[in-house]
Amino acid sequence: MSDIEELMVSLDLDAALARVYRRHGELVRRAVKRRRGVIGGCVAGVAAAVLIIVPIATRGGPGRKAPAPALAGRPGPTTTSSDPNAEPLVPVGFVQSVDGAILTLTSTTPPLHDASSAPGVAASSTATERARIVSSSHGPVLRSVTVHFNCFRLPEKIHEVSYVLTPDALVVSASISYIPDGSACPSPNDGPVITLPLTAPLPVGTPVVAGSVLSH
Amino acid sequence: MMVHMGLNGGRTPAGFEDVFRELYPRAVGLAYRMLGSRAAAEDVASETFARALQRWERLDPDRVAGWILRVTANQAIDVMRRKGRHLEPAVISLEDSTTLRLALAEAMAKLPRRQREAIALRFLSDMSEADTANALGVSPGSVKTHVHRGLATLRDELGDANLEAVNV
Repeated sequence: MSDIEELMVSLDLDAALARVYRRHGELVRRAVKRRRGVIGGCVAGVAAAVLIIVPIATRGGPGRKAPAPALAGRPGPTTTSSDPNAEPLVPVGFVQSVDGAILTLTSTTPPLHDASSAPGVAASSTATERARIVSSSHGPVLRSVTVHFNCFRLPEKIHEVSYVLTPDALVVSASISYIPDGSACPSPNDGPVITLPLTAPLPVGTPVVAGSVLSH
Repeated sequence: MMVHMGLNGGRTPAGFEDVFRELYPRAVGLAYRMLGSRAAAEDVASETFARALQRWERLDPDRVAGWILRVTANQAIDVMRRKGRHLEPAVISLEDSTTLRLALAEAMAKLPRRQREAIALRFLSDMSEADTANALGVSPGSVKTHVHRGLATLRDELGDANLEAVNV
């Protein structure tokens, strides 16, 4: 038996296989990091298919109650809050515009790619049925809603997050594009989070529901 | 893609582990012939299989053996290049298998890619002419031509006796 044949039969294949899996994991992590660099880190490492909306309440003193909402067709009830003059914060990288009852946050950076041909993503698909609210507020008023995106595919860019106040609920929608190669995201619970300030505080108990998730 | 639970505790593409167990020893043997170090040969083979796993869905099952051995040979040559070792013809000696292997890797690195891969599969991995042709996606006649030209260049670089000494 030659020295090479001896070498080949003496190999510990299970240990070698474990080493291959470890190395493969490193290669995958490196590829994810590279993609994160491409998308600038703001929406890195995650993708969106499902909208989860978390109403966030401000703290108020005991016994302070928000008046009943006047919901229909308005961006929010004209109620008082703990700090009625407080300016809501606009998330970094977005500009805010208000048109009647619709508040819109629009990303200030152009998309990196035209992802309209991304495999597995329809040009315009809604995911309303996949949206859900994961928690409710406990304070006296709502001043913002936080949108959690579930991880589904690496996002390229969140284009727009908006809400509209209907007679029944606060409906939150989003528009997102994906990296064209359809890379999977590292963890299903690791989606980007965007907090929308409300133009006026809403009473606790206002239903907050997911609108459409538009995929580019 | 079919998947099953593998040794890594996660989802492993179906067929990967079977191919690994069949081809890993051959890949190590091929790299060892070029590098002369068991540890370096195992590193090269592991890297090759990790890359294969990364693109498993895209690999043609009929050519996966050729792909793995071809990538192993190219990586072994890269390892030699990274070491930056250069041998003068005067130090190539039949008595010294290490310098012979270094000289072979150096000479092979200078060959055109197709010639280098054909020789690596045909002689360093003991594949048949038909299997080599299938792995490279060319005709057996084309393999003959690549091997013939590649060997002529290696013979010029290393000499007949040295070429035989490294089993080429």
